[in-house]
Amino acid sequence: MVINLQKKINFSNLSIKQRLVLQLGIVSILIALSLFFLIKNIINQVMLTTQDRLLTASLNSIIDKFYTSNNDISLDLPYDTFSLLGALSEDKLFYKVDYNDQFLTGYKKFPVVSKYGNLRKPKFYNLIFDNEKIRVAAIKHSIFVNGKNNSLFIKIGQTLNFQSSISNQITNNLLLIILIFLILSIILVLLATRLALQPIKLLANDLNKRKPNDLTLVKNNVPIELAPLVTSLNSFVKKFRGVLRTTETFVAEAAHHIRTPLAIVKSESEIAFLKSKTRSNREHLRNIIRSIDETNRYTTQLLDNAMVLYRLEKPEKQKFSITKSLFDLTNVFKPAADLKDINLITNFHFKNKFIITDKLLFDTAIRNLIDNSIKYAPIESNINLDYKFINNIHEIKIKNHINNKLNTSKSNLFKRFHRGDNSKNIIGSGLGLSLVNEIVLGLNGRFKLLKYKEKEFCISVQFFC
Amino acid sequence: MYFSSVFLLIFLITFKANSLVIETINEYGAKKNNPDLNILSSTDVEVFEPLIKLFVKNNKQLRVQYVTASTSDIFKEIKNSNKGKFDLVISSAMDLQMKLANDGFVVDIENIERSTIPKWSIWRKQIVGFSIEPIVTVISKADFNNKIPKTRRDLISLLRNNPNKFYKKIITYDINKSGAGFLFSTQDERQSESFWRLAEVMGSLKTRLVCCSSKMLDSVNSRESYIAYNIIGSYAEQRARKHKNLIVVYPYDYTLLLLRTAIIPKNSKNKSNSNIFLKFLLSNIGQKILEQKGMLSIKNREIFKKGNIKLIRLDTGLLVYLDKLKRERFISEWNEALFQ
Repeated sequence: MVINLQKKINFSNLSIKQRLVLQLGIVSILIALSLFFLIKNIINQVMLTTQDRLLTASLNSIIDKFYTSNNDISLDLPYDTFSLLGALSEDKLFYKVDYNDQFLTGYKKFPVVSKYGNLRKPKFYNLIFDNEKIRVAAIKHSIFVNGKNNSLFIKIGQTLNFQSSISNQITNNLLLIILIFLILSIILVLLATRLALQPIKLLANDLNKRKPNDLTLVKNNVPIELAPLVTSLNSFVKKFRGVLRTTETFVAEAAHHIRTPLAIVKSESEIAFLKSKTRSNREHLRNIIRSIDETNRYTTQLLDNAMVLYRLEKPEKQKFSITKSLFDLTNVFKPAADLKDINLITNFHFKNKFIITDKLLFDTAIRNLIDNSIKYAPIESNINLDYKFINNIHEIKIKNHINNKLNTSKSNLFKRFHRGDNSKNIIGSGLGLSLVNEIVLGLNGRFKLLKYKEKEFCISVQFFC
Repeated sequence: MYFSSVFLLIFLITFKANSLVIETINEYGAKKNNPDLNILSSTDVEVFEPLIKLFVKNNKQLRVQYVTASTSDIFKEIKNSNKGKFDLVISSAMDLQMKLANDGFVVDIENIERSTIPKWSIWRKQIVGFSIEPIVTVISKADFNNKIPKTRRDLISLLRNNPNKFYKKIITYDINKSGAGFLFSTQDERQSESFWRLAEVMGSLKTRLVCCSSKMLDSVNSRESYIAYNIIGSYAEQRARKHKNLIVVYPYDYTLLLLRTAIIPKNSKNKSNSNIFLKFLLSNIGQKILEQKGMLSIKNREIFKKGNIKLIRLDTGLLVYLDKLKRERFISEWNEALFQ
């Protein structure tokens, strides 16, 4: 049956839960059916034994009622025995008594039996008499009459109504019990399946909750069956982390190695620019210096990026004043803002508020945001830096004007090395916002681009307590 | 509704072919050559007539024939005849009905609502009791000076102390002729150790032996006999209501209670009509009509308050006294006691 079912149901399409429920369900049904037939068989055996014992008892009482009269044998059939046999159920009763192979009394046509037992151990038969199935007990009994041993052959048969009625009655009760057992076992199967799959579900949930750059090892307590999977997963994470670290180190080292010669090239170019006489040469040198600045910026961003990615793997959390940190950062950028006559307006709703997070990463994110705003804000404009703490959420909002509205998508703005169409003539790497995004997500925060299509650019970053 | 009651033949017409001695034949309902339901019964037609009349009134297309005979003849007819002449058999001889059922001469009765009748009134869906009957003693009031024997022991003492008075003044069933009488005597033997003493005393007083209750009642009513022993209660009560000299005694030591039962013979040709009639007989209306005719409904509980009522159980114990050896021995001993 199980094989046929397996053929009909394509097991490869079923989930582990469905497979377990199906297989355990089938096993439960098979156990229930086996129990049913086993118990029914035992009941039938008990009924048969009971009936056999009743028939044996009746034979005993019949034997007691034989007497001799006028040198002949006679029988005073016991009323109470027959009444008792009939009282248990509504079974028909048949009997035959032969005396030395001569019919004495009872039903002449009573079926013949091959062997007779004795009072202690009668022979039992299932026979048909008068179109009725009967259970027969047969004995041969010796009796001393007229100075010699004579034989009495007694057969007593009863229909099986007693057996079948009790059996049916118990079967009905048994069916109910088996049905309850089946329902309970199916409920237990569902529960057991749920419990058995719980560790897998927990592991999956934990993995799902991870940030894209979370490459920490899986440390869940899992059953031994899942241990090889977790070990493999951790091994994979380690390999991946190694590859990533190698790449980042390579990028960082490359950037570092490029920066030194670049500084030399820049200073040499500036000297050459000062010494240059022709307009054309000066123009060329200005372009060279500009390119060197851009390259320098790229390498700095790359270094920042490498540092951020490395640090996000294992952030060093500490408690510090978020308001003080924001205040310090705005002070750092004040000179740069003043150069463009930009008014950097801070609006902190709290004087001193603390946060527990990685300060270096936090500062890097905010620094990039302010730097970005100053770069793209037009001359003589305002940049607003707001801080709020509502519902256990630290929110920093930075807003600046832009010359032209951006014709790019939100997702593109967070792509590495992608720059908006307003970035012409502005030195930048296209890494700033993507870096902020990485940091905020890495610190379990939220990064929102509130406005960018209008001539206003507004970003909100949120950190949770 | 067409209704007719034809009193065809009274008393002792012998059909030699099957030895059935028919006492009465009555027909009711639609005019037809052959009856749709032929009832063979040991119960007097007067009791069943109103019931059958109402039945044919409700079933206008049916013709019912009601034949009465003795319980022994009824038993022999059903056992020996293969013609399927009768569709329903009603008898007060529970043992003979049980023997017919046990030996496979009857079929199941359909649609019996077991919940509406007592458990003890049905056996295997093949025998169903529709009425209960106490077995009583009837005495002639004028001959007893208020010293009415309440128990069998009292009766034995009375008879022993007054042999001249009661010589040939006791009447009872002849168990050689009456199946019901045989049943009452065998049940007496089971219940009481004083039965054989009573039989001896009755034999010494030349007790008169008859076939049926009506003869016993006639005899006591005419003061030909003073005591009728083992008589069917409903007949006795009915007669006692009309004749004040008759006193019905429910023996205090024990009073046997028998079931009038019905069976459907295996070779009946109208089994469905038998089932319809039985359903009607067991219905509240059917039982009410029986009570109006002086019989006791199977649902009657008042009778159990009358004394030490011993119900004759409808089970295979009843087969015992029909065993060849046991029956021969019992009748032989009874005859020895009664015919001295």
